[in-house]
Amino acid sequence: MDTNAIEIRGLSKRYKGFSLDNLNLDLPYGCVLGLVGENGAGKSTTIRLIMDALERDGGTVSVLGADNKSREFLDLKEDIGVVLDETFVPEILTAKQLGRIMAGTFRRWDQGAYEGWMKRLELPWDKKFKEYSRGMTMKLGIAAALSHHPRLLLLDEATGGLDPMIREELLEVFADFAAEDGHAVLLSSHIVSDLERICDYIAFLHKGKLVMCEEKDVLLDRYGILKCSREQLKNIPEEAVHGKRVGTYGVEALVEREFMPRDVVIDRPTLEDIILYMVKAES
Amino acid sequence: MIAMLRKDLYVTGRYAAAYAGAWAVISLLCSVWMNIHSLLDTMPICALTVVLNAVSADQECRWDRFAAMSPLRPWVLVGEKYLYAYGLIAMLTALRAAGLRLAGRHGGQPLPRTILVLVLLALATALPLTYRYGRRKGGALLLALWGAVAVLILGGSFLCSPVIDLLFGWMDDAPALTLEVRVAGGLLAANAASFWLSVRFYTRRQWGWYG
Repeated sequence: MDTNAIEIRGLSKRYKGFSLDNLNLDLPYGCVLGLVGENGAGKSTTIRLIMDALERDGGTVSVLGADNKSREFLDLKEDIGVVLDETFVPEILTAKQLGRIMAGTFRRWDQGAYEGWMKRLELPWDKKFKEYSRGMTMKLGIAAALSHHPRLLLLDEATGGLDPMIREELLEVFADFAAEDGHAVLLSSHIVSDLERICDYIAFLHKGKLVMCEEKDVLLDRYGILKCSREQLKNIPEEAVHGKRVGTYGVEALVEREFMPRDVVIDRPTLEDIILYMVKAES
Repeated sequence: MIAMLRKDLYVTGRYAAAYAGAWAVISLLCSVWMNIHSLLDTMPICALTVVLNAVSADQECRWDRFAAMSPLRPWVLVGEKYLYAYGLIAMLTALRAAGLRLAGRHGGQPLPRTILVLVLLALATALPLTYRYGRRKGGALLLALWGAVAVLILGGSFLCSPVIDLLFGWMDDAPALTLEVRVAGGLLAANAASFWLSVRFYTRRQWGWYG
């Protein structure tokens, strides 16, 4: 088996007013990759390109060992569970009816598993989707995605709109899923704290460009938050500073530990800190 | 494909009462100048509305976007709509026959072939237009196209009857069987070409060619 569930090389897609540029990304088996970025950064576009649901302008994408343009990939779609950030079912249907439709769509559809997820996520069977809240819709998407026993999960803002208790539970589900042999998860989200909790790798997209893709722990170890005065900042090597916020009483900066003098006190950053400073620096 | 048919049946089932009500109201209004026989003859035409609404429902709820990520092939997704349409036309034709029997007249009379030909031709033009331009714009283009065809034929017959004779005159002289074979062949070709175009447009729409 290859080591990566997803391999993206030089992927590009141009729209009017937006372009995804030369994206290179790997998702190893057994891992959760968090795709983070602002609205319109290209997260959903990337997921659609991975599934060959959108025509690309350049590059290659390999998913579960197959080129996503190959005939083989069409069959491999059985092994991929996708949760989109929008409802995809006619709003007059119910979860029971959706189960019957999915049973004819996926060969490995497991009605028992679906019923189990519906119960666990406390979703109603006979309520029409138009009466579902956004959180319920996302939960239903997750239940459907997990019920055909995929090996790869692609989750586009799947935790958005969920209450913290359910979010916590689902994050655990995703982490457990990724830990199984031959499984992997790609999770795009605005909620950086979610990504920090379960991701092994973080990819940060900004305006269609991959700003960084790094192992989460390496990232958190590499950077730090420095709080100092403006004068003190002048003594810090320029290459160490990756973004700063100047206030009335001083400066807060994202710095790279490697270039910092040993005697300077640096706080451990959160993932959100790193991303916010990087966005600011990019802007 | 059965799963997709099931989905469309669920959607249609929810609106079945509305469809029947709309047909009844229109029939009531038209009954001033049409008899029950002619009204029942219009039933198969309703299949077009139902199928176009099913395509429209898919586009509105972004089912297509989900389907593109599933193992379902575009030709299956599009082909299902054609099958659904043919099934509906057959079902409504049977309902028409039952209606006539209930009305106590013309029970055994088959559906006028002109209507069947028109419905199948309308289907062959409507689905590619809807996949290419969406329900609203596609519907408007369909009306414009058929309006133009009607104007051309009617206008042509007034202004230039020799041309019409040249185009359609062979029908008068052709033996009935030959004519039917030719019409059936034409319909088959039109629907095959329509299916091919629909799959092409559907795929391109999925790939973001049309915004």
